[in-house]
Amino acid sequence: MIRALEGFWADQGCVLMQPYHTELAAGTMNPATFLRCLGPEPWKTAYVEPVIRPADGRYGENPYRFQHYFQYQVILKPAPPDVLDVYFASLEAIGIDLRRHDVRLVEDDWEQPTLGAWGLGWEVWCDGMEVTQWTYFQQLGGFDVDLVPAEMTYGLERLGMFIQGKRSAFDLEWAPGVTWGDVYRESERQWSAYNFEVAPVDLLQTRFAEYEEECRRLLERGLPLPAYDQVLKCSHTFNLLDARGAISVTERAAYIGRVRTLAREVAQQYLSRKDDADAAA
Amino acid sequence: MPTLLLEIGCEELPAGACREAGEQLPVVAERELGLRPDAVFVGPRRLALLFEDAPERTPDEWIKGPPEQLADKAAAGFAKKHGVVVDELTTRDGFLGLERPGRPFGDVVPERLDAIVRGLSFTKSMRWDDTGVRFARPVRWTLAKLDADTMVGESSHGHRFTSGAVEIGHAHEYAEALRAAGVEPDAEERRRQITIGLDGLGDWSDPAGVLEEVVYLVESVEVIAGSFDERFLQLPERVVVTAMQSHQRYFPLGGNRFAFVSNGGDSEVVRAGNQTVLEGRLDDATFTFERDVALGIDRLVERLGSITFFAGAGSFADKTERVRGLVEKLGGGEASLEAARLAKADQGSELVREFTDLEGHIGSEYARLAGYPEAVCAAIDEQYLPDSAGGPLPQTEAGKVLAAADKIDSLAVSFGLGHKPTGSRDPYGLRRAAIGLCRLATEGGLVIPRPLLPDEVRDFVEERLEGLIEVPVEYLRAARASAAPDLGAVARLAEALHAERDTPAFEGVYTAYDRAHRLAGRAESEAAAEVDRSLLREDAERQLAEALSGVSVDGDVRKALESGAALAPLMERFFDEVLVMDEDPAVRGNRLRLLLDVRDTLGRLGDFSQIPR
Repeated sequence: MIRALEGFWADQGCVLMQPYHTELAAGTMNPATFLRCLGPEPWKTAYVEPVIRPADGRYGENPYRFQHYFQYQVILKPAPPDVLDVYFASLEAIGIDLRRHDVRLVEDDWEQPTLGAWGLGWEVWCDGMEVTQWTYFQQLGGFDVDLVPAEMTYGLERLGMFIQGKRSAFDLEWAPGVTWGDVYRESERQWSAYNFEVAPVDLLQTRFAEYEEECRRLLERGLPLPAYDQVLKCSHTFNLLDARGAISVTERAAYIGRVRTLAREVAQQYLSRKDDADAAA
Repeated sequence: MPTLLLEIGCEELPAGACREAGEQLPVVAERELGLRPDAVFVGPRRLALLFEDAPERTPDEWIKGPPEQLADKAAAGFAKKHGVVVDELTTRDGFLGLERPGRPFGDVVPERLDAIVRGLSFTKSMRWDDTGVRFARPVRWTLAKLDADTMVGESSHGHRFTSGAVEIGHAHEYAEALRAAGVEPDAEERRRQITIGLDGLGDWSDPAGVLEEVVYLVESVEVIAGSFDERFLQLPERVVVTAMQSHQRYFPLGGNRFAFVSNGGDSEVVRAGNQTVLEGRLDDATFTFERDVALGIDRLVERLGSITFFAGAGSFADKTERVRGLVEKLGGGEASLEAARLAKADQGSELVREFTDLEGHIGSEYARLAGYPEAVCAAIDEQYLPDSAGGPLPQTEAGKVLAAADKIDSLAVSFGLGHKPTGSRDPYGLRRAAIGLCRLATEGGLVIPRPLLPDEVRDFVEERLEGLIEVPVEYLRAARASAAPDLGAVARLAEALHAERDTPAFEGVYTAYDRAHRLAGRAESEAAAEVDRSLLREDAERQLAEALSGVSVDGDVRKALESGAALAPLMERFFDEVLVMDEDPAVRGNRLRLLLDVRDTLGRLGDFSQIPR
């Protein structure tokens, strides 16, 4: 399935990226999406992203909830007029017969407050199962996008369950004779324990502040790309603290505000540095 | 007269956007075309308008220019502005002007259609290219037909997966051509087909009102029945219904059956897929449900100390303690006290995290499973009622008390922390809570003592009575200043004062209050601390003081008014015979105090100065 998606989107002219090297709560946060979708340059990409959401772990006991799973992320910037037709063709490419199934688009507007980002779009339903989160970005880092990108985020486990007719992600055939559960169940158990019970709250709080400070220092040095990695680390640290139950309702808003401020500053510097580079060229 | 068809083809519009477009289209069309549409088609992928009597030409226009006598100065400029020479201008009623003959109607259709697209406004809109057009979702094609002539675009499009481009031969064949291509363009017809389909499957229900959305989720209607494994019937019914309705837009058919509306596909395949998805959701809910139940409601209560209720207002355990205290003060019995202890337990459950709308209900189910008495379980279930302006009230006594205590605490805490609703901003639903509290008092007959509410909260809550009882606001203001002991009594007093407003007794009390208040109200600082009977020299003032001690204004309002009205003739005599502003400050202070006592005694019935006469 992943191979089929890679082939399909490569044929559409997408740059096939690889997963990013630090924890992300969504493929959207990969700089190949978040930063590349800013500014006036066209950009097409597709990649698998392992997604880390500490609070969603269930010790490998719940067949639908995991603290680590996979998204397949596609960006077409700008979105071509036939973008939905292209997307539906990608479903056919992974074996979904659009005439036999009930495939439809159900309103779902997307918002990521920590990144100052929002867009309008849909959940794509296939016989009632959500298989893709589909969004036209409108703002990122608090900035209106220059070219409106289409973001398609396939939930790979869900899609796999749908195609293989499986009731539990752990039963998915991940490779011949190897299930998803064989590969990931034990890691779900151990990471859930870490996320909910063991992760060191004091240390994480200190780290959050350190990442924040490092981000500012890097921005002062005019290095928005490394600075953005610090934003990602802040975001993940916040998610861990949240899973540990260490954040109250008002603190939550304050933390989100701190990350959003950083994301906005990074976006701003990323855009202005590109302007400078363009002017120099 | 020719028939005009306009079609705006979109990517799937949300139901809310469809409703907005449906309301605005006739108005915008009339503004842009001067025609009211004979049919409006609204669906997720297309908005269309049909006009059966389009004109052949647009009307001739007269563009008024400068007055004739200013022709020398202004004619050239006016002509230039409109792209003509001065010779082409004509005169009408002393003004220069330009005759602009009407154009063939077909010529203006493209620009008018574009104006209609731009003229619709949506609560949430987006842009998708560099044209600057904003719409709820991208517009992908437009089509205009004047009879058989195509004025804009090329063709329409049929069902997304079973059909392609659709030629519309003639404007009035629009609906027919689409139906042949697997699309029902008319929202009312889709609604009718869905309802008939559901009726055919049995006793369907739609407590969350998803039908309104489903009408706009499909272009082609097929109603399909499905079922799920009976083991999921162990879940609280409302959990199952919420999974079906809110998450999947299904219609419960009772037991383990449900119905849904498909937009296409092989119905067997689609049914099987939807059953699997629902069972997956129910499996997920069962997983958390069983974990909660294994723990039990009493253990869930123990978790509340570590869950923040509201920053600055402690945990849910703290909230539970405060609510229990309020329940006691509201005179709640054993069931309501026990319910208060367990009320917030489900905030510690996993199931409520997934089904937040079912807070309270899930707790009540857990209490029932733990064997608590029905009165306790029912009260837990009802604690958030009424949850909308006209929503139902709790039915049980314990439920009423708990619901009131919960609202009083939320209001007191939020106001105490400075979170007051401003304008339309009310993120914590405090207005709704205040209205709920009033309704518990007025409709529910619950005695809610006014001193239980901190001053600011009491004002905020009592102001909400204005919208609930049908008396002029002045009577309510008068009653709010009375000695009425509880919220319901304030409302009843306002109503009673209003009902009695034309009686002699009301008149008597009003006049006595008014005269006393006018004279003594602004000289309060000179008044004695209390009336000294030995300083009462005149007969008239002694009689007034005597009568005042016999006035009783508590209890039945009519009797109270009659009792108070007895003072009116004595007041009359007092003012005739007694000079209040005596030279002797002691006498003067004593008389002022007597008048103030009259005002304050009658004032227990309300502040009559609020009521205009």
